[in-house]
Parts: sequence; C-alpha cells; structure tokens
Amino acid sequence: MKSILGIGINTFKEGLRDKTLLSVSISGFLLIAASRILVPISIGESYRVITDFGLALVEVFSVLLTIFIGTRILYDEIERKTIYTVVTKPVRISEFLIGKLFGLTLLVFSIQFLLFLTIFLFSKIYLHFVFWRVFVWFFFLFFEMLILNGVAILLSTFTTPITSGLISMLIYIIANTSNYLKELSQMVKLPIFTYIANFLYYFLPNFTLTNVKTEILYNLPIDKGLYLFAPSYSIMYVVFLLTIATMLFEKREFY
Amino acid sequence: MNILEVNHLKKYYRSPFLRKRVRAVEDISFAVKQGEIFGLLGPNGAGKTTTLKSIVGLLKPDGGEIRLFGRPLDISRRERIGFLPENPYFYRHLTGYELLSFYAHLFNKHITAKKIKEILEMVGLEHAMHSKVGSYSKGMLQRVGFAQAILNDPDFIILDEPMSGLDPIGRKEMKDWIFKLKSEGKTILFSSHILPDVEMICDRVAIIYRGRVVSTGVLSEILQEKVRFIEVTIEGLDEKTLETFGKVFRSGDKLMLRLTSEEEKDRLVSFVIEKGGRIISVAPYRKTLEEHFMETLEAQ
Amino acid sequence: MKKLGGFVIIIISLFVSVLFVKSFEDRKKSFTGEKLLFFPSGKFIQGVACGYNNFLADLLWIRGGVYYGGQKLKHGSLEYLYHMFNVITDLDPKFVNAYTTGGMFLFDDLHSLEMSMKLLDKGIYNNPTNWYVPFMKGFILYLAEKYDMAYRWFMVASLFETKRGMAFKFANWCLQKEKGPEMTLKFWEDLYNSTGNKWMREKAVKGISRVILYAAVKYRREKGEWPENIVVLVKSGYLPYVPSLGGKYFILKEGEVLW
Repeated sequence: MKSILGIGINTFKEGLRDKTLLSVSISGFLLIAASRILVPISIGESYRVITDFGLALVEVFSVLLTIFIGTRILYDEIERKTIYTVVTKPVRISEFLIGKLFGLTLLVFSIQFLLFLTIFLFSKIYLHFVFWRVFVWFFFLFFEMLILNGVAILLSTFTTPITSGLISMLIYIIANTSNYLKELSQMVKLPIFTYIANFLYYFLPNFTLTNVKTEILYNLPIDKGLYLFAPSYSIMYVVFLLTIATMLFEKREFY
Repeated sequence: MNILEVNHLKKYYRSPFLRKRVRAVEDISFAVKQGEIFGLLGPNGAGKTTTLKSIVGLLKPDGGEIRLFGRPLDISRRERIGFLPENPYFYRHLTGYELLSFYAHLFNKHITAKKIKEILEMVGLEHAMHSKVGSYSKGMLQRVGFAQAILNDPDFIILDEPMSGLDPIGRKEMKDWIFKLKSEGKTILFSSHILPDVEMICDRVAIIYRGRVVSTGVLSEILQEKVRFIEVTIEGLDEKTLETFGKVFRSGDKLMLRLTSEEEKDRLVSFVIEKGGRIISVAPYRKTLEEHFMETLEAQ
Repeated sequence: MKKLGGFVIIIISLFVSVLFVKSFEDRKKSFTGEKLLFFPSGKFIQGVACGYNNFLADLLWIRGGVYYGGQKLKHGSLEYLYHMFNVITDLDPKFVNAYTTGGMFLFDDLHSLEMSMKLLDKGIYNNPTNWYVPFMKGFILYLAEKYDMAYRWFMVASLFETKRGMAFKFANWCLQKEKGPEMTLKFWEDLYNSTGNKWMREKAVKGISRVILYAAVKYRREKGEWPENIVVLVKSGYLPYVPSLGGKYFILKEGEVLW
C-alpha cells in the first residue's frame, strides 16, 4: 500500500513536470476561452452550445492526456532506466502498475477537473447560468477515463508509445460507438458481423452506457443504478486490464 | 555461510531482427561469503553487468541457478539487498531528498526522514539534497545511487561499476564507504574493469572473460602465480660474480638481472649484500589482466 | 500456481464486467429512446460521432445559422436548409429549438408548409411531452390560414403546457378567427406580450398592421379618402380599439402603417 502510494505520487509529480502536459492543458484552456466566440453565433442557444462544446473539449483533452502521457508512462521508465532501481526494491509488479495507474489517473483527473471548472465558471460569468447537473456528467467521465488509463498502461507494457497511443484511441472510439455497431448488426443479420459487434460491445470497454450527455442536457432522468454501475464496472474492468498487464510485465526483462 | 551462490549461470540475448542468440554469459559460477568484499573483474563486455542484473532479477537466466541467502530471489529477499546499477538513472524532476524518500516508500520497513538525511550527508550531498537530480553531475548521480543502495540498511549490497565516472577523490571516498559497510558486517559484491580499484579493496575476486569465470580467489594470489619475472638492479659488483644467477645485463655501471621466482630473488638479495654490493631496485613484472585473460583462454 | 491465479482473476473480472454491461444495456435503452425513425444520413453520422452527437448537432446548428444568414444576404437558395435541420435533429433528437426554428425558417423563407410540417412532426414524435413543438406547428398552420388544423395542434400543445395556458387561448382564437378584427388584434397582442421570440414578435407587428390597413382600405372605399389617423378609424367603427404593442402605438399615414 505504501509503495503504491509512493509510486503513484511520484508518477503524478513526474507527469506534472512533463512538457506534454503543459502544452495539452494550455491548448485546452485556450480553446475554452475561444468558445466565447460561439455565444453570439449560436442563435439563442448559447447555454447549451457552450455547455456541450465545453464538455466535449474537456473529454477530448482528457483522452489526449491519457494518450500522450499514459502510453509513455512505462516506456519512459524502461527507456530512461529509472525502473532498474524500482523493480529491484521489494515491490510487486502488480503494486508497481497499480501505483502507475493511480498516479496517471490523479494527473488526468486534476487537469480534467481544472478544465471542467473553467467551463463551469465560464458559463456562470458569461451566461449567468449554473448548470449543476454537469457534475453528474463529470462523475461518469472520471470512470471512463479510469478504464482508458488502464488500457494505456496495459498497452504500454508490451508496445511502443505510438502503437499504444493509436490503439488506445481506437479503443476509445469503439467504446463510444459499439452500441451503434451492435444495433447495425441486428439489421444486417450477417453472423460474423454480429459476433464481431457483440465482441466489441461486451468485451472491450463500453462507454455507451455511461454516456449521459443527452440526459443531462435535457434534464431527463438518469437511471439511479448507473451511479453504482459506473464505479463497479470500471473497477472490475481495471482489475481485468491490470492483471493481464502484470502477467505480461512480470515476463519482461530489462537489458 | 554463503550469501550468494551463482551456479552455471547462462544468459543469451536475442537480437530483435534475426532472432539470433547472442551469448552474454556462458557459464558463470561463484559464491560470495558473508562479510566479504567480492569483486567481479573483467574487461568490458565480459558479462559482469548481465551477471549482476540476473542476480537482482532484472534479467531472467536461461540456465543455471542463483541463490540469495540460501534461497531463490523473491520479494522478502529484496528487502535485504541494495543495488546500484551501472551509470544509474533517476527521476530527473525530483530533488535528491525527494528521490530517496520515494525509494523509502518502496520498503516495508519504515525509513525515517532523519535516516535519509544522514545517508545524504554520508555521501556528501547535504548541500545538493534540495536541488533536482536532473542538474546533478555524473559523480553526484553515482553518490545518490550509492545512497539509494544502502537506504534500507541492507545485508548484501550489489554495486555495478561503482567507481566509474568518479574523480580520484570520489574513488577514494567510494572505497572508504565500501570499507565502512564491511566494518558494519555487510557483504558487498561489485564489478569493475579497473584492476587497481579491485586490488585495493577486494577480499576475493572472480575474473570473468567472455562470459566465463577464468579464475576465483584472492586477487594477489591469482596474479602472483602469473608473475613473469622479477627485475633486480644492482650497483658495485661485476658481472662475473653474479653469473650463477643467470644472464646479466649491463647499463652504464648498473647491472640488471631477471629472476623467475621469489626464492631466487631472496638468495640474490642476500648474496649481493654479503658481497658489499648495493640493491638499487627490486621490481616484480606482472602480466596485465588482459594478458592474463588471453593466456588463460589460450590454455583452454 | 501464480500464473494460474492470474488467469483466474482475468477470467472472473472480464466475466463480471460483461455481466455488468449485460444487465444494464436494456435499462439504458429505455431512457435514450434509441429506437427512433431510421434516417440513414443522420444515423450514419451518429455512428461516427463517437458519442458526440449533441456536440456535432451544435456545430451543425451554428453552421446552419451561417448558411442561413449567408444565403439570405445573397438572396440565394435555401434548399439545403431542410436537410441540415433533418441531420441536426437526427444527431440530437431532443434539440427542440432545432425543430421549431427549423419549422419557422422552412415556412417563412422556403415557403414550404410541407417541409415545415414534416420537421415539426419529427420533433413531436421525438419529444412527445414537449408543448412548444406542437404549439409552433399550430402557429405555422395559423399563419398558413389553416385554422381548423391550427386549432387541433394548439389543443395538443395545451395538454402539455405547464405555465400560462397560452396554447389554449390560441386554440380559442383559431375558432374565432373569422369573427371580426377584435379577436385578431387580441391574438397578436397576446402573442407579442407572451413571447420573447423575435420572429414571432415581427409576425405580431405585421399581423396588427395588416388589420389596421384592412380597416383603412375599407374606410377609403366607403368614404373616398384615407382616414386621418387610427383614432378616426376607431370612432367610425372600422376598428374596435386603438391597438398598441409593448406600449408603442401604430401610425397610419396615407395607406401606410408604421410602428
């Protein structure tokens, strides 16, 4: 536990001083500021356009952060040989990976939260509109990002940052669209397509269930069960990802 | 009692493209006894680092067996060892102090802030402990590396090329620290390709060449056997008197003899003094390590 | 042994994750109304929108505004407007304003009651409990002078309207449309006072101007000259009272109505 915390906080500090983080976050804040120009051209719908646009920005930048930083988090340790002095200490590989995930999640979360807060204050200051329900959206986003961070860490145990970045991106897209694929497969009625669609829907991370943007924007009721579903599903899925990652990483040698 | 036993260690590297096996360590066996300073000596590329990495678990051997404290390596064993890699790399953004307290988190035992400061003072980093590791010189990195290796007060310390990149004063200090650890009852295993470093501090060495142990034992003994000749320079006697000892070379008014054993040298020295001559110098001519390796290999 | 344990954890955690998804997929469906009408174009975009349907709808909404403004300035054609609103509402079926604004544009600028009705019908289908879409449908039908149909949709809107009972009042006026200018004036005044919608307010101004002009033309036909002002019209019984909108009065000058 102590070592997980230590590794997590160290990962967080390391990421915080990473130049990638700075550039990604700055562009995020700039874009949010730029969304001010949307107010006059959104034909009387500025609050929803800003909220929508802003939330989409927060999500896109969280994903970018995960991809830029998460996929490099193990690679850099190995490449820079800093891992030599860590794995030779009495630390289990599983503890090491959980620590890394913890640090990465903390990092992505803090930037995510700052971006989110900016949007929130933005809409309060410029539109005099406080939309408390977006916090619910943020709650679900957190658990989605937890899974995506796990994916990035799993991938980076055996492949290069570019490859794992691309695959993470792909998985993120699939995770958000697999319900459409599944629906489509029911119409096409081609067995192989159905198998693939079902595989993607059930076995890959699934964010379609926790995508509550529409419900939040229109004040529709949200199934209370989802509040329980999101944490339990993401934790279970992260256990799945990290166990594979641990088994792969235990096999690794450090030349 | 043996702290470490390495039996017939074998390790191959696979080149990534051709899947060809490249030998790194062919057959290495040695044992480190409790409380001694053991040196792994050999030229670059002999397999020292591969051997050490296999011992600490960074590499997985392709054959042979490694026993630490009588058992294979596991988590609880790691609690009792310290390791300094070759040319160590650390998290550049952390300060020296932050780095050590990060490592302190990785041990089960509680390591106090006081202890961390003490260690930093011992390795001479008390002034640099709050500046970032990224700004450290190579010598300072070696110091902080040594500090993290002894952080958990380990029983067995493994140092890979601890003297490399250090200036003469740094080398002297490193040697002092190693002696200090020994005096505290610790066991030390370290590797080097520089003979004088090893000569001065090691109790025993294993000489490694091309992935094999060439010889094991006390270094002076290993090389003693291999002394080529002893050169004795004499003044105040003539060639005739000394002829019985072998061929005499003359240079100006000095005479020089090459003897092949210690006994002969002793006889000559007492003979010269008896006859009223003066001994200018006695110099044993040893082979270099490299020559020794080459010869042993040819013999095999 | 350790390896086996790892595999067991992997299988169990994956199994439980799949179970979670399985148990929730049906519950989620009932909330988003996934089973909408099947629109190939919009559905396709929805597929590649990665869950950003609302966001994309917004972008199109903005784009639509730019397109509309640009074409209006150039007096160009607006025929793609319907398609654009159709796609926007495919992406975001709950975007009420897209249906109502779209309905207005299509009727007012494209002069297509048919397209306007189609878009509004889709809006009613996707937002069955919203009062504003059927209200707008009724309003556009009213403008198209299809009073009995307008009456029906105002009645539908009044079922869902929560606050003012405006739709019900409008439904009533539809019935009384042909019963004289007084009701017509009341209708427009009430509309003007109860909406912030600029377009509707313009319609109200135009509507009242038309009533005044109608009375003035009648006066001229019978008396042989333009009335001096609106008060003359009221006194001689051509108008029931002097109409005003937002505290501003209308001015009648030689066959022209100003406000």
